[in-house]
Amino acid sequence: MTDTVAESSSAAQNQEVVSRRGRRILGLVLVVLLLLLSLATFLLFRLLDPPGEAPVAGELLGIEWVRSIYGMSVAPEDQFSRTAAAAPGPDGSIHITDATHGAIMRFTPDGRYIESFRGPDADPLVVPGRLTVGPDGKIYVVETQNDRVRVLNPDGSYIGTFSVPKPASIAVSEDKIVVGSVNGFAILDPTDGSPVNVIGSRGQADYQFDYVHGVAIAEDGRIFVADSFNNRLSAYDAEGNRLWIVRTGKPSNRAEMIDGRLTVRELEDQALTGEEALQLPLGITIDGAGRIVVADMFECVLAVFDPEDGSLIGKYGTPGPEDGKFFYPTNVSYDPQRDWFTVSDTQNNRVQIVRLPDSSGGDDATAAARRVLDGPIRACAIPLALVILAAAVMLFLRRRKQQEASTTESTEIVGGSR
Amino acid sequence: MQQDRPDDREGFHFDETAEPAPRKQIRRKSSIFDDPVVRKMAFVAVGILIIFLVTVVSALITGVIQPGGPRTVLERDISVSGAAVRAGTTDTSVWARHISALILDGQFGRAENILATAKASLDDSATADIVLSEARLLRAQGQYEEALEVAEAARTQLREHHEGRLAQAGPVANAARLEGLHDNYDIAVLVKAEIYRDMEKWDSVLEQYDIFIETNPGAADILTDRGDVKFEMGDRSGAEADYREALRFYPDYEEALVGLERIGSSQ
Repeated sequence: MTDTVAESSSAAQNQEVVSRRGRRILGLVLVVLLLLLSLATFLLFRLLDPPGEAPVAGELLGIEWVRSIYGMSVAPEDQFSRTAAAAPGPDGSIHITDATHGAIMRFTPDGRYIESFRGPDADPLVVPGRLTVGPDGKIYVVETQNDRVRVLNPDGSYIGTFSVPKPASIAVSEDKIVVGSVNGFAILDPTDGSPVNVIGSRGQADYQFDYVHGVAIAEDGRIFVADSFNNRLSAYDAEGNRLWIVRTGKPSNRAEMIDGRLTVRELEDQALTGEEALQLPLGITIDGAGRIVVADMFECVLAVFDPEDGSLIGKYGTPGPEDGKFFYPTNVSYDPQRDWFTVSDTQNNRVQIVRLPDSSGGDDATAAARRVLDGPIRACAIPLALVILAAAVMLFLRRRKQQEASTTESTEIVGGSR
Repeated sequence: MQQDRPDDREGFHFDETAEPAPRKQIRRKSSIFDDPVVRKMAFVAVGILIIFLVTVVSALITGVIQPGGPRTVLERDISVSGAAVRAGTTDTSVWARHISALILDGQFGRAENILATAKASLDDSATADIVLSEARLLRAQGQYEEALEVAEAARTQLREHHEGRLAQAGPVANAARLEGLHDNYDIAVLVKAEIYRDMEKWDSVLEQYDIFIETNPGAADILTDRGDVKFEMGDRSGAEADYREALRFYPDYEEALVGLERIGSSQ
């Protein structure tokens, strides 16, 4: 009996020693793990946080900078030079053209280079300019100097060409292709590129155009047109009937010598004057809220207009070489999935991805969630889901255990009272 | 709670009076996991490890940590000039650009290494590009007196080089006359001004800006900087004159307009 007591006491002591040792070891393991985790988090943060200060939102006058894309790699020859256009595809990939690479360069939404499309070997792309990606992923790119639009499959394989005199801009929807040109714009059949309606001639009068550098198609089929050198913005129905037209500033093509100085007079029909006026409206797009967003090259801003009457809603951005600022932005496109704009910031030799206030058109919470999940934080989504799942399983098991224990207890009480 | 004994089920008779057979005592060795606290700690450790591994895999799958091109203007400057330096360029201005970008990013150690490599490997490492980079690095590290000496050395070197060319007869002297002092001479003046600004020696800052503006009267940014310094020194009319002069060369220059607004002057 005494031996048994001594034995059990020794076993308890032994267990206590083992427990203490176990706690020490596990404590050490936990500390090391947490340190490793902190180090890994720090290194990951360093990796994700690019050099240079993040632009301060207040300094960018309403622009929220997401990221910039400067080139295909860090090699000097892979850097962009005078970016011409940047358009998102249905999968979010960004297609970019510039003045020197003679190709459509494709990037992930994170800005990683994927591949380049140069067209068929026998007839490669020649100075590809403005481009757009259709709802089916087909890529349409204008070659102004060759008077044609080239069409490529999403994988870069060549589909064909259709001729348009002096094309300057392009937009595509399910049922139409709209090409802006020096003389006006044309509505084309998407199946074969044949013209359905051709609107305008070159000039400064009503129903005349002087370089349509921007066209956009709204969800309801309306067509919006930036008549760049006439400094006019206009809207048309799906058949090409004009709905409204506004002069957004002084036309660039009416300069005259007054007292020895080259001067552009304000016109009587000018809707926007002073600081509201645009200087040179180029590329345009439609955001998630249905508003018209215009890249003003010389003022280095994105201007937002009401699609119902062409009234100015606001201007965003400021000139400069820093990230988030613009230097001659020539084109803008919108990615509705990510609620961001890709801007070809031409003179800064880059494409910038930016957001504007109230562009999503949906509820704020959904837009905010979407924005978070489009950033690097999305890498934590799976682990977070795993943690939530593990916590739910543990909670479920604990409750079941408690229920089992209470059932056993009540059975024993019932058994004991018999 | 009575259970069937195997003997009963198999039809054997179970003799209750019989002595139970002596059981072999198996003493299980104590394990650290017998302690519930240790078990919980182990669960937590394994949980952390799993979450960490899943995060890494998730980051790889989602492409978050895959390398891409430059994402900011500073990253572009660092990586593009860095690639050229690694490729062995002998263009000292590229080396200088790389060092400046590293300084801007606060990578002083790397900047020092690149500077040392430039001095060791470039034949014309004594050019003003490299010397001015050294001055900038010293300034960024707070070694103002040394930075001033180096910047002044760059200026002297450039002036002597220019005077040397002028002293030669013929086309060299003509070219020197046409080209004037190298741009780096003015940059050295501005570097000195920046160092004095850090030291808050306003008189010396003004002196450097005066030298610069004498040869670059239309430099709206430096005119505005000089206006700011004059404002710091309490010379409001001098500041206003500089802001207005800046606006004459660069209408709507934001910094100059801000300066005028600060001193309460109408535009």
